[in-house]
Amino acid sequence: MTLYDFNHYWNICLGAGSGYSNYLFSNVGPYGKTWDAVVTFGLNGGDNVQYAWFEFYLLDNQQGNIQKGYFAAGTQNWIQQGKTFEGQMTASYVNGFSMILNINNPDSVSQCFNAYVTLWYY
Amino acid sequence: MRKMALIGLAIVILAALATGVLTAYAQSTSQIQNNNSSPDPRAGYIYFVVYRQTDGFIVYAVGCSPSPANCTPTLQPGQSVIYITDQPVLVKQLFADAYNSNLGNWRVNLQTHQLATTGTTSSAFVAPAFGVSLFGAVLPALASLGVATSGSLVWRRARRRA
Repeated sequence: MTLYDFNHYWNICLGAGSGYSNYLFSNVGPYGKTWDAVVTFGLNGGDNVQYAWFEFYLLDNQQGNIQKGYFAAGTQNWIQQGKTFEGQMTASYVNGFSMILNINNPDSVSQCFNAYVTLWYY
Repeated sequence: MRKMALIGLAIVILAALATGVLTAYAQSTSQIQNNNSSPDPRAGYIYFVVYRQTDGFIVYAVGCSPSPANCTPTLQPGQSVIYITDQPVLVKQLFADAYNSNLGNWRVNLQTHQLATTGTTSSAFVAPAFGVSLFGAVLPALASLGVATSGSLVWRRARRRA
């Protein structure tokens, strides 16, 4: 198992009532590998609790971009300050590794979020 | 009499210096606490802001470490992006506000395509940590020295004439 990226960090600040949907990784690394991803997500400053929703998912553009891994808070959640959601996903790829993060902040004030990703392949 | 006057002046100078230094220290300490709230900008990171083309509302702002990660936003219809990596002061102010739930204080000016704040920013002025500010310490001390010097000269002239 090869460590590809360790604790890669994003600071993502959403405006009030806004959404975020982006590739954190887009077809990177060696092709034809199985990838193991550990993701963590939490508030960064702002309110003590924030009503928000997030999801990480894995996809392979050589396999019709079907969803190959998924980690989310399920539904809208009251996310507490200091609480970190941590999940792990594993998937086999034909092409390189791709991951999307979606966040929704329906609150009337802005909020920043921390996202970390660690990747291995074998 | 002369000794008393000089001692008095020395006390005034020391008091002014102490007040100035303490004030500057208190200011720099509070700024350090504010700066700890958001460590952005981070070395090597890319910063960008995605906004609505209709009103300049900031949908999101991101600090992203590139390679192997992707730091290019996927824009939805009606959205545009501004990269602000080369404006560290702006990054600091924007993300300090965002950290304090005040991203709504910022808008993109649709005429100039520049970010502008509509409220009081969280870190409008940043002084060097533990630095002694010009107005807080140096000017009072210089003023005191000036008063002391001129006072001494006046006293000497008066004594010569007498």
